[in-house]
Amino acid sequence: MKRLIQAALPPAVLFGLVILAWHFAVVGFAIKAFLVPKPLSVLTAVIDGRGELLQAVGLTAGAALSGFASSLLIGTFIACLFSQSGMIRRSCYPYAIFLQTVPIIAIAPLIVVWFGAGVGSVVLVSFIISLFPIITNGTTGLLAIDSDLLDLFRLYHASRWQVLWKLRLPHSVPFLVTGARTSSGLAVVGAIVGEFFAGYQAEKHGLGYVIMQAAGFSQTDRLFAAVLASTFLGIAIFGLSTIVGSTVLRRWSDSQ
Amino acid sequence: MSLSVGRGELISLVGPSGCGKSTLLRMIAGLMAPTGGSLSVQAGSVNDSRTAFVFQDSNLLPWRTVFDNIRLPLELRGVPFDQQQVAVEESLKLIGLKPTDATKRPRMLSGGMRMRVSLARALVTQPKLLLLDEPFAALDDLLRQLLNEELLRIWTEQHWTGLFVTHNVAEAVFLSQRVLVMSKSPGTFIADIAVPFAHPREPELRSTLEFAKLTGEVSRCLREVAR
Repeated sequence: MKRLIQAALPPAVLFGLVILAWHFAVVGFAIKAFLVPKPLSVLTAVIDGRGELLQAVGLTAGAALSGFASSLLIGTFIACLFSQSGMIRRSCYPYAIFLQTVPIIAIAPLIVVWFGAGVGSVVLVSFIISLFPIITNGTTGLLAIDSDLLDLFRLYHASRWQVLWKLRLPHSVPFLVTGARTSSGLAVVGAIVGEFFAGYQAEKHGLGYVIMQAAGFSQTDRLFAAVLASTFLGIAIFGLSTIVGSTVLRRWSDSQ
Repeated sequence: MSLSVGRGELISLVGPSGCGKSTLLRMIAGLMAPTGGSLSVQAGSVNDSRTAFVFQDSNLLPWRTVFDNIRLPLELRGVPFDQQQVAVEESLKLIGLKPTDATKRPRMLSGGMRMRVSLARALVTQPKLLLLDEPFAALDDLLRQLLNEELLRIWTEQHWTGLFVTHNVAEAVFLSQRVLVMSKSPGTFIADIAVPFAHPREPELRSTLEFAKLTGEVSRCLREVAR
């Protein structure tokens, strides 16, 4: 409990100070509300728009989690393929890097052109952006096996499949956890970017669409509320993956 | 180089670093192919699944419990689970681990305990040939002596053929029936010293004059080789 307070108190105090500074800056310099709203009006926007915001958070969270889950599954699968053949690895890895380096914002419109507006495209953008960390970390974990351990499996005539399933995959779990932690944050970014472009035809709107719309109408308080909600969503998903990850690691890791 | 080991013999290999002791052991285990010459092992030929290997590091899978680590060789061979269970329990008892240790994970164990688990994993396959590559090198001296005694007790019970690579002369003499001294590259045997002490050997053997004379002889050989 004491440790919790020690950890939570300083950032909470800082948060309060920043909010105060923000408020007095807006009031003191007479900044127009459509440029920077007062903290209080952001709070009002959150409360007034809570129905819309909650729904948006729910939709975006759903898309981000679907994108994250599919990148975890497919990324692990691709890493397994990479671990089995140096040929596949060498020929495909440059294109995996492509996933990392292509500006997602540049290809998101293309995805909408190809796959249409809607949840599917949003999930796809989220999937693409969160795939790479899983592939690299997974591949590293699958390949960085102590040679004595490989010898042990060879001594007992383990099949390729047994080596993958009973040695390489379990060994790569801590690496995948690290990758997943990075991916989870990216998946939220991907979902919101996806919604910028693909979120407008549905009846219900995700956070990305709310952000675009609020910006378009200069509803800065609503925009701030949506940004705030996106941030909390990101923190929540990152926190979730960290908690799940460290629970898994407690079982896996060599050190205490 | 030629080496013949009788069935049920326990032999130690000593020699300076880099003389190829470990390489020889790995070739016998089928983990490395000889670059020239031939190698045949009769107590279960090369690549026979009745050969077990104990590595210098305990080499346990950290995500598996002690029980799951020990049953690994049987699992890889497709032995049914209930038979695995019986074999692991026997192996645990043999190596002096408590049944409550079975659910622990390697990180919760001391170095000596980990090495015991590693030995249990090798013995669970009921090997005909046991190859040990400096298994106790990382342990403190007392622990090493205790594990030597355990290993010898198990050997007298089970009589597998054993090849033990070590840097420790006292360990080599205490454990084996013959000590082979290897010279630096090209690796050849320069001495084959018989150890005449009867079994079972008691810990007190180490403080006898005969023991000291033998370790002295082995050390002298080693010193010549190292020059």
